[in-house]
Amino acid sequence: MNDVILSIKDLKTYFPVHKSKGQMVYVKAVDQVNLDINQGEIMGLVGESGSGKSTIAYTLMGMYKPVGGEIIFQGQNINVLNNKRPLSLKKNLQIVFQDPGSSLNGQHNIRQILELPLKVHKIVPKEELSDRVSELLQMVELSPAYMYKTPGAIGGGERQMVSIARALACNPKFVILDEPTSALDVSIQAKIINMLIKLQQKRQLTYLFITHDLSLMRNIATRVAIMYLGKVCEIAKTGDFFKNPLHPYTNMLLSSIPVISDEEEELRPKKIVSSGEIPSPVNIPPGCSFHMRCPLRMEICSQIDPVMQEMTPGHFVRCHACQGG
Amino acid sequence: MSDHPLLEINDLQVWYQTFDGYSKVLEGINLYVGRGEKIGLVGEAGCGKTTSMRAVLRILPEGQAYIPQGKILFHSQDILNMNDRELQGVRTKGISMIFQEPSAALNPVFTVGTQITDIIKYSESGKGMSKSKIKEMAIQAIKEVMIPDAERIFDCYPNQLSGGMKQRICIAMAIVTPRELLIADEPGTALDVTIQDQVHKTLKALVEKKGMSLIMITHSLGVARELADRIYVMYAGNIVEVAKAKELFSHPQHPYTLGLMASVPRLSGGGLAEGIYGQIPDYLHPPQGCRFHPRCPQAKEKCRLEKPPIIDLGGGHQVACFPNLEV
Repeated sequence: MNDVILSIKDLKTYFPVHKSKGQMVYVKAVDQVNLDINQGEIMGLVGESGSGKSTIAYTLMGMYKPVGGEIIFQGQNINVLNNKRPLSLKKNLQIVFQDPGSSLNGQHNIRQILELPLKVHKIVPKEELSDRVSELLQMVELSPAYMYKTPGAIGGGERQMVSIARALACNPKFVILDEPTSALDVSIQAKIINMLIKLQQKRQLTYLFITHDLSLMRNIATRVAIMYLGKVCEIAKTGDFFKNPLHPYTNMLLSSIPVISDEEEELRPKKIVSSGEIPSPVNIPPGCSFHMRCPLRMEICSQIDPVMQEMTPGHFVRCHACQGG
Repeated sequence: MSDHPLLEINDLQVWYQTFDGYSKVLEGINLYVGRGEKIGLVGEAGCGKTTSMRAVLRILPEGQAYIPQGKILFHSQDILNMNDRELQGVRTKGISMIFQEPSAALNPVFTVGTQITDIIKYSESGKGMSKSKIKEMAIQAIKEVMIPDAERIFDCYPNQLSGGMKQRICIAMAIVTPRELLIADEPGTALDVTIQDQVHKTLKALVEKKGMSLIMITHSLGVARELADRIYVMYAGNIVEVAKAKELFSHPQHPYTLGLMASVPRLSGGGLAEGIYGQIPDYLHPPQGCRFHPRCPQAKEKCRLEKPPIIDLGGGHQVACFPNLEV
């Protein structure tokens, strides 16, 4: 077995909404999620909006306090908020946000933005700061001339490259990529993804890649996990996952992807037509949360929530129908 | 087919006024839509897709947008020279549009029902119609976009509906009175992939059932492939390539189309191409010659100086590029 770098056990992140009959009502944004991420892999976490994928990222970063469960990073329980985490831990765990327009300080120039992590983590002595910043810019294929520009003066793709450079400035081991390219055009997306993969191989990084784009994961991920309403419903190695998708929700997602060639069209499951919408996370239906949209619905699905089960080695699914009733 | 197409855009230029001078967004686009034809208009953010279609309905920001030249012929009549009365006719009988962000397109203080019935009331066909007949028509339209319990939805406010539902209501508003052309401006972009798929399927079925023409603005080649008969590819205010959907995907010609196709992650795997170097040009100072040359892997000296001609490859396949000449 590979070395597990980050292990999520029974993670629960709930948010209080309002009180009803004296009892607090919660949105279960992340509910009983178990996930092991191996050293050096790209783990794709895929789901629609509201499925809780970003909440997992923010919980891992210590921005939200989980209600229950454990997060174990390199053998150490890190289930505390960000301000209580030691600097050495923060250094190894970094994140790239979705919208580079709002995650970079518009009042600072690129040099100030990239210097900050170097200063905080005391990566290089003061005299070498400037050299290191231009090295970082070169790493993301930007010219050092960008150093004195502000984020507002450069394009969206370049801004995202600066965010990546900032995340990698303190040589982390684990990087969470929260939809890094969903705000960008495909031609720029391709460029950034290629760069991310090159950097991952060169620096032996581990990525948790959060996205809603399954076809992108087909091309870059080592393993893929699908989330629906706060729960993971299927995990498998990428090859296995796309050859033999099990969960009906996975099949629905795959059949909805717009494709550009006949070859791809054949890979899409045809039997399942997308229907219904994601219900409100406040009133999650009883039993399996997907049963109202599910074409394979059985009686048991509305009563008992299925548990994760390993169907073939490394291929887990949480569905009554797939597990044979 | 009759001798003139339903909508024809000839050499349309649109500039926007800014503090630093004119931002020359559209450099002269040519486009036509036949009756009952489904067109895809594909391009990346900021290439002028929405600007060109807003010009068709004359809903560009007044005072900022300036149209130096061009003609937009709808039934052989130039929309740009129409008076308000004629324009109202086009907007109520001829063309309707669906916008990208459904929550911004609906008025939050009126019920969905009020907003749909208003359209019927002020249209030609709704004149002298009884209130109950109008309501019946509106509910029929909601049913047509596959929303169950239309009667309940009729009395809902937009904020009570999900994004997918709102977009369906926008479609209902666009088809409730008979129109000849529907312009859909990225109707699925703000939605999740499963919902997007449902909305597109509804849209396609309705357009085909009613025999309308459709212009589908999208940044996704995959969406255009699924919905359109013929696809226009736009880059920086120019139509760079046009072909029948099948032909475009089997024999793409323009370097931009090729780059775009290579950048799309495939479900069949095989890794990602390098993408296209650089970004869309600054419209205040657009590059001389072909506007794609700074990013083009095949650019030659000639591309820097002259605007490329439009080459007809037969079968309605046209491409605006030099290197093809020499091949």
